Amino acid sequence: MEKKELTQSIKNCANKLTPDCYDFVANAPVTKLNVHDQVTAQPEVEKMVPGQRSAALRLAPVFALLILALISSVVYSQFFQISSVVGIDVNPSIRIDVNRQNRVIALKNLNADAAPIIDGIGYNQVKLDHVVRAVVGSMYQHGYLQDPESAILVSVESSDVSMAEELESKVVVEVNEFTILDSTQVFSQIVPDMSMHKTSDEHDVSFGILNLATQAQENCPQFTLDELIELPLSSLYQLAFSDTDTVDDSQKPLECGTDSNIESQYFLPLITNPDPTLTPTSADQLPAPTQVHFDGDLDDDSDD
Amino acid sequence: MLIFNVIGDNPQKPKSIEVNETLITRIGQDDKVAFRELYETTNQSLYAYILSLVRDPNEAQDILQETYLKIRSAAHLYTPQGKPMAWIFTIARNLANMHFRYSNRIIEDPIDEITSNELEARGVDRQDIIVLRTLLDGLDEEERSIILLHMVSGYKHYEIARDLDKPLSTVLSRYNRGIKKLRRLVEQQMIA
Repeated sequence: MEKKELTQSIKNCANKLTPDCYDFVANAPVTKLNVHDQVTAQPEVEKMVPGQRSAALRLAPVFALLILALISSVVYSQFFQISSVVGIDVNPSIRIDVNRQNRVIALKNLNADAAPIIDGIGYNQVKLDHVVRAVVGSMYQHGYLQDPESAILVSVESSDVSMAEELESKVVVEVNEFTILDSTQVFSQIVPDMSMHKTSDEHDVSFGILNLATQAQENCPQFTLDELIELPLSSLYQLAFSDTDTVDDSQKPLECGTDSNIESQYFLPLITNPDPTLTPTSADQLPAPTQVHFDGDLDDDSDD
Repeated sequence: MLIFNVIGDNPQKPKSIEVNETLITRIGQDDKVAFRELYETTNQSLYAYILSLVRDPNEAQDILQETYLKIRSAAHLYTPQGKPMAWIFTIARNLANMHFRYSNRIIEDPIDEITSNELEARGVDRQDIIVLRTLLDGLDEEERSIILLHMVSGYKHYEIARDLDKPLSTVLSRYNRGIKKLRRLVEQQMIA
């Protein structure tokens, strides 16, 4: 049976069944109620002063703003807030700001030499390892890292040490994979202080170098920070970690000495006769991580 | 024809009833013209609604009369809320509930043999009686009231939702489900 037929049948019934009781209901005597009884009671309606909105309506924009702010802060912290900073120092010094998703949100040159290196590299929200690969490739194209004895420093600054370790390991693997460098010339460090990259801007130096220089100055207080900053990377690294527990006293690569002439002590020997036994080895030979740890093994007996 | 169907109401469909709220106020002031107008506008849909509740044509008639009397006795207390039919339906429903409470009667066959003969005597077609009996016997109360108000009075779904204080989605789903059930049951009845 079609719906139309059903409708017609029901209407027919209603037409025939509906009684005409008008005369009775219009003329029967009724007693007017003083107040509504349970049959005629009307539902309570919230009385509102004209122009006044209900509390929920008034608060709705506030809630909407709060939710918006919450979503914005989550999105900001996940995608736009700097979670870690990665520094790559050869001579060109480059800084890579990374978000919580390990994606790059900024790529900056920290000296003039680095400007052409990063020029043209797309980085925004790109995975860190891809950007590191592009940076290392660009360095190679610009004539850096072609000598296997070149040194490179990877620094990771983060308040989350485990995240910093993960990033450090990733970047060192990328650098080792995409360069012809002797792995003993790849240095790395973790900087568990998110203010270091800001301080380094004041000294016009990368935060990785500044951190090494600060560490080295603690060991060799007779030198100024500026003097230490000028040292070759491998010298500075060894001075910074000359008191590392993993290094025997007999094998300390560099002692501060008493000579206050920094150049005579640390520049010439390292430039003319770099001793491979005094430099760190590959990243996978790292000792147990410390706050700032040595990225290598100076043990002569090691066959690894 | 297509445009007519899209932009306008089909003229064969009953027009939706609109009750002017001032009618109630005027009835409260013993305005007989206003009462007449209210009665003529609402008589059939109110009866259909009450029938969907009590399922007995004779009892529905009694409650219909009581509803109009109640309107007359309380119209002067009515506070306009923009939904006069909702108030009238509420009175009818309350009276139907009281009726059930006091009579304590379970209706097994809403249109029995006697009622069926009465309806035939009033000129109702046998097939129409089968449809009505199936509707009153086979559907639940919510489905019955929504289908009757929509089919008899031309109430739109949103008006039913407003006046019966139900979500529109509920009205639409109950209506569609009820129609399908009714068609199936009527076809079974016809075959039997």
